[in-house]
Amino acid sequence: MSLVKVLKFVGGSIIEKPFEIVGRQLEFYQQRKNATLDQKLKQEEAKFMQSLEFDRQKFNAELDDMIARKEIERGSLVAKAIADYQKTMAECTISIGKSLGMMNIELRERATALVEDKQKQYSALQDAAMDKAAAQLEKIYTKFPEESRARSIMENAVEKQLNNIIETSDRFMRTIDEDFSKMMDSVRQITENTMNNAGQYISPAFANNAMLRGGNDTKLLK
Amino acid sequence: MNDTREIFALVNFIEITRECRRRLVEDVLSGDPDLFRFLYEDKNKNVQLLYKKRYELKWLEAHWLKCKALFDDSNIPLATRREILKIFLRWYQKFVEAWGYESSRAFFFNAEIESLEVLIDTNQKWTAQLDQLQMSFLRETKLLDKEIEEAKNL
Repeated sequence: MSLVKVLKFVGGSIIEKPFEIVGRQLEFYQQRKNATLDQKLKQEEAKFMQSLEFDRQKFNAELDDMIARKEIERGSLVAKAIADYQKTMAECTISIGKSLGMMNIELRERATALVEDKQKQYSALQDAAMDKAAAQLEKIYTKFPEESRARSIMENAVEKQLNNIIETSDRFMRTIDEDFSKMMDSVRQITENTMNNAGQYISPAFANNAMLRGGNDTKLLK
Repeated sequence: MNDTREIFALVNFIEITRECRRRLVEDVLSGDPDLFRFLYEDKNKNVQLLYKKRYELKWLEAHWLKCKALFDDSNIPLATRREILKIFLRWYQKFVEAWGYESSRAFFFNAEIESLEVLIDTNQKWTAQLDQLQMSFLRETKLLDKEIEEAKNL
């Protein structure tokens, strides 16, 4: 074997071997490095996941807290709105009741005043008729001081007229009385209907619908 | 936007009050039956006041009806209408208060007008009956006079 061949043979292995070793070492080192990195990565990942979980929990806690706070806030707003509504409703009810009561009293006073007027007017008519009849009777007694058939007929005629006046008076007063009751019933009915519908004025929808419906009298609208 | 609605409502409400005032003057001049009865016809103060009250309530209510009538043929969306009507309602109630009524009473003007009509109708019935009675007494007196004259000749 020539030296070159020997050298080539040995040298090859001699030359190649260190590379092989270095290569293996590098590989080992690389593997170690990778393992360390992997571990580090895993640690980092674990740490990150831990932190993420913590953040998530923290965020959830904050969110829950925020929701709770909002709920309370909303709750108190709702409670305030309910309290305000109840207060307004109570004020409206009082105001509506007062207005209706006032209207009823005024109408009753007006109706009573009408009855008094008519009674006065009727009394004046009745008194005039009675006075006339009494004057006639007086004239009869003056003209016919003695009892006679003629005087009796005249007396009867006056008496008949007086009776008529009294009967008419009674009838008229009864009519007034009945009409007054009917009139008050109608007014009461109208007031009651209004009172029954008053609920709509104090309902929550009233804010949007108040008076936007009622009132169909268009006579004054040109 | 809200300002626009406020201005729209304000301008129209002023115009409506002008229209109603003009109507009041026309009614006085042309002799509206209720006003005529209040001003000239019926001598009875209580009855006069019924006619005056009925006219006044109808006149006040006309302001509100005119506010509503503004939207009769309009294409304004319902929500906007309601917003504007709420502004009208606020002013209308103040207007009613200025006339010496409680604002809540404005809700019952219809009922009050209806009740006044019952009173006016009943009063008219009584007046007619009294007129009949007056005629009846006059007739009775004439008949009595006649009977007495006839008796004198016996």
